Amino acid sequence: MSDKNKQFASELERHGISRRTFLKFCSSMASAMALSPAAAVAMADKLVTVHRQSVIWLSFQECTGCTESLTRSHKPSMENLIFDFISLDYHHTLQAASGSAAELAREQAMHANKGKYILVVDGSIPVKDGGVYSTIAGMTNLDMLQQVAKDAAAIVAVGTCATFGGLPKASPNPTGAVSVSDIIKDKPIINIPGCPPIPVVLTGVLAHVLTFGIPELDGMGRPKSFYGDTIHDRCYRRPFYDRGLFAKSFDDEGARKGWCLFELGCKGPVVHNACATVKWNNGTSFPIQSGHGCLGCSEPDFWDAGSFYKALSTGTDNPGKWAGVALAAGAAAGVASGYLNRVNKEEAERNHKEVTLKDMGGKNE
Amino acid sequence: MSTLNIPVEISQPASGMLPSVLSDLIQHLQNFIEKGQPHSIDLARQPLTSIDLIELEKLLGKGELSITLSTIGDSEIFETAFSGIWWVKHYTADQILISQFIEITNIPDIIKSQPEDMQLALSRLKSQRH
Repeated sequence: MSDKNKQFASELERHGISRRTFLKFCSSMASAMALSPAAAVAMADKLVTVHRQSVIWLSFQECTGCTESLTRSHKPSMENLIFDFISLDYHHTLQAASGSAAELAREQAMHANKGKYILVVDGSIPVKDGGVYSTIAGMTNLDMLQQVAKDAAAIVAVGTCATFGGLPKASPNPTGAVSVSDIIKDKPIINIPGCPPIPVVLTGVLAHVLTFGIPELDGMGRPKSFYGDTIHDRCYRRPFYDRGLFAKSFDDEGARKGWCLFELGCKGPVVHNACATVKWNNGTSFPIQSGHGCLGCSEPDFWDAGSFYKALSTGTDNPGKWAGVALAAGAAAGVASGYLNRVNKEEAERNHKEVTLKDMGGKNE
Repeated sequence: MSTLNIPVEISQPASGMLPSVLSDLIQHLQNFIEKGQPHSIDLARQPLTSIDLIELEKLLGKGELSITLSTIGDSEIFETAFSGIWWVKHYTADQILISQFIEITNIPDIIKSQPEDMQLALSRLKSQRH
């Protein structure tokens, strides 16, 4: 047995868990993240040997929905394992300390882990009138973000507010709300949009950062493993769309038979998220399964993109936002429909990811 | 009352995709027989409804071997009535199904004794000798 394996075995023993337990944990994690089983094993190897990572969580203009989502995570055993591997040094809602003691904890963590901590941000940042619309301990959100981001290894923007401005940015945007990436330009930023985001997406991305580093991101800074497909691509109602079978009103016979909700305003074809596979509430369901179209809460400016109840192709109050993308999605759907095509696409993606992960693992040795 | 107890029937009709899944299984079983290349299908990533999954499980049936793995909740692992096609279901400690796979292989990896665990077992056994 190599030194590395011995170290791995003793780490597992220290945590009181067997290799099989870890394989099980990792295959479930990999399932949620759309990784290959090989990547799951690589993740198992890495996760037990990583140093507990300092995490500083800043909450700005937000509703605490993102934290609520995380704490209602439907895979508790997985999250418990994750939390053995991070040190949450500052988080308004979850930390015991308050007032100056809380701010002191933040400063100490920043100092002790300079250049190494992960900064998590939820909420948008108001910049109008010198940023007076949201302050913490007398400091504007803008100042605090810049101060804490300076020595962070990476930033994870959680929720649609931190990633794209979200509801605070909705017209007429009275506070001048902007996203994290509008302000910070010199650090790697991982965007995890959603109002709120799916809990396991957040914990999965953190696990990825701890084991393989920054995951592969799309043009909007979103991890491809969770945001690579549209809701429509993965929807169980999709085969009915392909056959031209559409529900005409909520809860009509077609809707009950599983027909597509496109004509009722579903934004699924242009929304990138994992709701259709990971689902919500103990993996019970997701909006479309409950009979309501997708609102597109993880897309930029979804609140100002016109009615939730007008079909994409028939125009909305603000047709410019969705229409072009819908046309492109429709064209792609024509090419990529059918189960086997989708399976083959997935195979190609997985094979590609395997190589990427191996490469990343190599760098971390 | 948990959400699981609310007396609402979630109805998800069959999508008509089962024949495609079967073609996929045929291709991978053939591949394993000829080239020894195992394959794993993550059922959560397939565009299948809950009814599809029930039908698929009924169709594949249960074979001669069934194993329970007890760690952070139980996992149910069984060979289907089709030799070489295994069904792996992982549950949490709260009996929530967190992931399930169909594996095309002669024995799923997770069933095998793991080298790291055997090494620990060896040192534990040695310490019992005195």
